[in-house]
Amino acid sequence: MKIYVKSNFVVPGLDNGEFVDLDQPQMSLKEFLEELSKRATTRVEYVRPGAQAINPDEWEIRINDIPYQQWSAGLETPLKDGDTVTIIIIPLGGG
Amino acid sequence: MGEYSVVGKSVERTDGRVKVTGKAKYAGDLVAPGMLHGKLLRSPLAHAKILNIDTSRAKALPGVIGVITGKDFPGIPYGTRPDTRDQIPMPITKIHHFGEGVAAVAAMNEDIAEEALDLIKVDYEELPVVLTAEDALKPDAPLVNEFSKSNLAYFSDFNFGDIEKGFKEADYIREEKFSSQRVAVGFIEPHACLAEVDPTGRVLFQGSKQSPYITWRHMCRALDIPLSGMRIVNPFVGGAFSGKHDPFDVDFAAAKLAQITGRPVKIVLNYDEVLAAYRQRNAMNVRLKIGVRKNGAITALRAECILEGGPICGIGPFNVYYFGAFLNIPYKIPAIEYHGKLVYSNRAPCGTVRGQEITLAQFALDSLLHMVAEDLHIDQVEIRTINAVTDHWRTANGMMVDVSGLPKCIEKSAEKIKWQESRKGRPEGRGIGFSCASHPSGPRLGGHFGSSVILKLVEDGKVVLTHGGTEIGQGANTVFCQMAAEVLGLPFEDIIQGVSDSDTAILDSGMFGDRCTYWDGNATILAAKDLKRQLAEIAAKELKTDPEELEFESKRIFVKGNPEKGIDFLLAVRRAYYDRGTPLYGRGYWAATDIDIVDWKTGKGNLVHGLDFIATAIELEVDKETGKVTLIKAAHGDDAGQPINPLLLEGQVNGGSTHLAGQALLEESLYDEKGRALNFTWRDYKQPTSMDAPEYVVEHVHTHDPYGPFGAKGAGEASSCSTMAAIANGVYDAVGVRIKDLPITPEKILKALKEKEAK
Repeated sequence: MKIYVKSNFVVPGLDNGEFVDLDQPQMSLKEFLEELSKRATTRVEYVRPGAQAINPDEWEIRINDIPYQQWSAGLETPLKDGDTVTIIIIPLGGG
Repeated sequence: MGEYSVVGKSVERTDGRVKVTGKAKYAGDLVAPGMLHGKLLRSPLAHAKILNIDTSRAKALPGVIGVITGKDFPGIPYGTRPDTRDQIPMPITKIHHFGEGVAAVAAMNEDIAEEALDLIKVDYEELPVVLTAEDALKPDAPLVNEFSKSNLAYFSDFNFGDIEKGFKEADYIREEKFSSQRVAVGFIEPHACLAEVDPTGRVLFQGSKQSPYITWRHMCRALDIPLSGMRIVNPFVGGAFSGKHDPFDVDFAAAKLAQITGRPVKIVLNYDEVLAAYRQRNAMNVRLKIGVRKNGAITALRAECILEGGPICGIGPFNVYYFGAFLNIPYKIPAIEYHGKLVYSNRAPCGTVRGQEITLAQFALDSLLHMVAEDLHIDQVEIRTINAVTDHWRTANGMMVDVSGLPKCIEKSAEKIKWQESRKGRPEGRGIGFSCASHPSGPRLGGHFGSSVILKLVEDGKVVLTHGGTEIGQGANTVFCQMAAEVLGLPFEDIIQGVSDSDTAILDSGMFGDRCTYWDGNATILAAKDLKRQLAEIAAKELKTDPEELEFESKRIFVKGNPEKGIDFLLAVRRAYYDRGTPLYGRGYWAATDIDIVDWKTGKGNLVHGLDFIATAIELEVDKETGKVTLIKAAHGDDAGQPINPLLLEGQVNGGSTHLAGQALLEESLYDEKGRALNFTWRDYKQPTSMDAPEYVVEHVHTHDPYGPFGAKGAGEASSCSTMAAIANGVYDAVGVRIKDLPITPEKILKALKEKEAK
């Protein structure tokens, strides 16, 4: 299964910068984000352990350009081959 | 542009008198009943494993009420971006830099706290240190940060325009390396705070912070308390210059000790601690390659930059981003390739300093431009004029320059420094250097990034203004009061600055990036208009007219074109409170939602409004015997749009220039081979004083920014971006030696002169 990733930052662990090839035929959004975290060399946490939602102060996540909160299954929304997950990073600070 | 009553006038700043008479209360002046005094035990090593910390003897000392270490915190990492969270309040497993706080004590007085520190026993296992970017990137380099499997903390690769085409079109190509040193931030007031916990467990934190919102959010995360569990109030702040955004161990320690002891805890650092262990500017190495046509027009630029930033990312990703994205200004460069890296090291953690890393980029670029002009026999003023961005210029990465006064700024600075005359003849050892710069008025980072202002109209007709930015000495409070007075038709004195308090004000995202005047200024205008609308409705009923027909001027509300038909401003206020029981609040909020959110991956987009511009010309003298550089005169042509307060603006321009003259000529934070800071006292660390400042001339080039408040742009940082290259170029013009690694010390000049003579 191939999941495309759009982002406004260099997603750690996303080596080709565009998509992730997965062996599994199906995966939830939560599992996909956890998989991305595992692939990173730095500590990146999209979903806090045990959390049922993504902290909107940190990340804005969409599936096929629709905010994940609008999908009825939310973080458990199953992703299918060819889906696009958008990850927008929200920094806190400035120079 | 209209005729203004208050805007554009150099009114006295709202906090001037209390500051100069010593009455202003800074964090170190605060007291609370039952207050304890805190101190931090600091690591003598720069890199080490913490094997054990024994606090038992300290805890047993009479007068000691609480002792904490990193293990007393929840261990939740925090950081500027969710992908670079690599800090915890105090270390648990390892030391990252010299002077890092490893334990903290709260005691009845400072002496007991100090004594208790001596009783804490820490067992370390010393580790090899990483001190430079080169060390950090070696394959076998020790890892600095436990949250990362690499010393490469962050990187960016940007491509704007067609770089190959750009270099093909060049008639001349030159490549050079530049470097800059670690420097301290340079604020006057050391870090200090007072933390209290009320009976419900809610924390009240009062500290010397530049961006209380940032501090608040980070502290709540790392202490694992909800935002409503902490109230943050800012007292007077004695300067910040980007060195007080984040919470530090001192802040966390005060809050945790207050939680543990149930008593207020104040910690005030001494300046040695600040110089040794707190935020500095990154050391930088950059290689620039520039392509230029015969006439001096730049066709392409390639930049490879490495920033060494200490053991944390902090705002380093912003520094890498700013360096690259803003190579697109102040010159028209059709194609840019940029590779930026931030690496970890075991030196003090970095943030940034005034001008952010645009300062370093501009030092390198404008030094190189001087070399190019000389090689091509083009006048230094002409080459900058040829390349200066102009109105409605779209940069290679997509930024729209709405208004640029830069060509005029260059003309003004050249005229005031008497450039043409100097080319006919000048005294031995004298030279003039030029540089230009531009700085945006705040980017749009996403998340909570707006600015808000609340105006409360008091029964006596005075207005209390509360804003979400921070007054750190730059004069923000004063210019917001001027703007509100202008809109409401009130005297400046009738606007009173309120307190920055998270319980009553909506704190905005921070005081940085030249954003406050622009963003909070626009919010101020909207808040004043909101208040005006409410008053107009009341006055319109009284005057039996339409609210739209009313004007506000000189504390009166009257029908347009008929000043006789009006009421006193105060009468309208009284009608609201006494007849209607209506409190009057004006609310304004503003965010540049029409610009693009920062794209960290590409650096592209219409990233900002309000690009302010400066052209700096510095005349200086180099003593060939000693190598000493004396700054004689600095002429700044400055486009900050409509000056809101010309005197304050001039202070910002000159202050930024003096500040960065220190980095150009004097300052450097030094470390030994084990990463221990060497010059962390004011005796050894040299910053410029008023005795080092040259004669300053600031020529305001009035433009009108279409999105800025009253046409104003940000103002505080452009001169800091233009000064270092102007000095380096001036030294070259004076004695013919080019120093490319900062600071430009007498030793380096003498060595270069000797090498020049030997050729």
